[in-house]
Amino acid sequence: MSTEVIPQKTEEAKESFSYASHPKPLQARRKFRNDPGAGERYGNLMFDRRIVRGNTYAQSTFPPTTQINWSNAVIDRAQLQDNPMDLQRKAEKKRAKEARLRQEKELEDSRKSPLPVDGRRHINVQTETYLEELTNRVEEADVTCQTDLFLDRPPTPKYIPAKTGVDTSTQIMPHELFDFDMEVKPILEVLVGKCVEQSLEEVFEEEELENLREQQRKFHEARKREVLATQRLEEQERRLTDERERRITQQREVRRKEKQTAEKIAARAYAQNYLMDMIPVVFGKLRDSGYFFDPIKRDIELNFMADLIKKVQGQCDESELARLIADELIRHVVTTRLDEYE
Amino acid sequence: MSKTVPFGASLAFEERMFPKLNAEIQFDRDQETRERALKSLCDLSHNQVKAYQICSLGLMDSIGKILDDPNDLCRELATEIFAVMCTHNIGRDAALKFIPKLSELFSEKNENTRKNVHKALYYSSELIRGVTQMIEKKLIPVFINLLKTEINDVRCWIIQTFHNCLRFASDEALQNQGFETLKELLEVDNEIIVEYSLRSLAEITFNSAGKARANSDEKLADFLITIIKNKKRGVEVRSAACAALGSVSITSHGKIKSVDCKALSPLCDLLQEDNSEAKLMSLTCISILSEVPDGRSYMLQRVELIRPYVMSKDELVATAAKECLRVIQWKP
Repeated sequence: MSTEVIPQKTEEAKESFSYASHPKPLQARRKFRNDPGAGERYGNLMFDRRIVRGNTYAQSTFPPTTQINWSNAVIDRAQLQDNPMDLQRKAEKKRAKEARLRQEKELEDSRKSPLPVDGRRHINVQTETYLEELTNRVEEADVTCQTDLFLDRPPTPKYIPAKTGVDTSTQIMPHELFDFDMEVKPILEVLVGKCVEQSLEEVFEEEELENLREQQRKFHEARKREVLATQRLEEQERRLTDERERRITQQREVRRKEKQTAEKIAARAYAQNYLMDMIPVVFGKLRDSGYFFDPIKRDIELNFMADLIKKVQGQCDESELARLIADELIRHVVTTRLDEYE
Repeated sequence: MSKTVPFGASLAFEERMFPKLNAEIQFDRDQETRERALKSLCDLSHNQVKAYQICSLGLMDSIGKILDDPNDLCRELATEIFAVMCTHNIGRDAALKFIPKLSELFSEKNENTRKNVHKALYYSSELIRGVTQMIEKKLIPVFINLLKTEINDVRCWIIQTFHNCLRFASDEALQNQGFETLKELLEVDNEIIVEYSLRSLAEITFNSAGKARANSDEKLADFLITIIKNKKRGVEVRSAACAALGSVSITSHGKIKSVDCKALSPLCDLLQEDNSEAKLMSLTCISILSEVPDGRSYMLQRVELIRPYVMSKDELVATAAKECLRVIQWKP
């Protein structure tokens, strides 16, 4: 509930209408703390405590110049006096004083005993049977009372409408509606049938799977057996071919050797043939070339004959030399003779 | 993280059921709603009609996004849904594109989540497309590492997935120490793990590199023969060991070694078992080992053991028995 203060309009400030907040009606104070969403609850002006009510003729009116100054500025006493609240209080005080004076006057007028003379004092005295202690101290008794702080809104009581209408009852006897044993048969049949069907299906499936597995197993066995048999036969073949190869190479070797031997024999025969004539010819030639010699003869020929011939040659040379000299002499003589003859 | 499994959410009627659930598992809803919706999806996906509806309404994409969720329980439930959906063919097709995302969850703390992830991967590996995807994303070395370190429950599923992948990726597995890991796994307690590691050994030694590797291992043949001899083990384990032995003994070196380790008499015992796989594998193995002269002479005395199977109703067994007899009675 927020209300904003509407500033008092001064005579000068009578401009066009301006407002700080949208005028809205007063909202009433909530009664309960957790009042469940009562929404906008508007109050009645007449029952609002903040509004001054009653006859306003005796009340003083606010002078038009006063303004309520709520600011923290230093408040002048003179200004305070102009405060409408203070004015009201003052007015009340004056009224109270007048009333008191009036009352005293009345009291004096209606007094049974006269006022005391100077120097005397009147005292009230108790004259009843039972004396009462008069003290200034008033007997006090403390009584406290506390209202519950915000009551929670109690839950709304459940609305139970009043009972109306007429009561009636009815009862179904055991075999009136249906016969259980008969009715339950089809239901049971369906239930049991479904179960059995399901289980049969599962059993068939399992059997089928078993058969499939069996087939697979057989296939694997057959395959393994095939592979092993094939490999065995392959191995056999391999061995046989290996053996064959070896035999063939062996044969080839043998044949080669045979051929070689035959060639050797042929070569030998031919060579023999060829060489048969050769030997005497060779020997003849050798003898002719002087490779066979009688050593004594040779010795004689080499050593003796050489000397001999050398000596003979020497001899011949000498004789030739002599002849040459003779010739030369002769020539010389002849030429000198010829020269002499010339 | 609450360990208690939440109740299912309330389901709308008929057509509105899955769109409503789809809205409830999105990220902007609160935890409790999402968990409950996931739980009811888990329960519903067992039925194949509902599984089809789930796939056709695109719910798999929403569930796939939850695999990244920070909440543990949501992830666990999402992986469970994947595991159940992958048991249906429709679900497998839909789950194919989530294989990389699932592979990121290998290091989860919760073992249920890991188990579900590997279950989903196992079922996806039954499809060839699934296997090719796994090989492309280089999951084979990851599987081999996990086989060394994981707990038994989870390893069961990993080894089965690995076995499915080996048909196409045995070379890669060999290069990444697959052989050693499988040998280690043969000594684990769990029957399924032993069985499938024996099968994987057989697969891995199908090509020549594998055989070379197997033959270089001196004790392998012995070990396998001990398993076949041990009648207390299950028939599946013994027949798987038989298959592995057969694969290893194809090479001459392996053959001679196996015959030296006296493989033939336990194989003849295995032949008497009822299981068709056991019969088949033992017949194949005997025919392989009879190519060695020692083995042939041994089996020539026991031809009567094999003759009844020639008339068997099972075609495979009959063919195998005929083949076996042919090999035993071969004369050069």
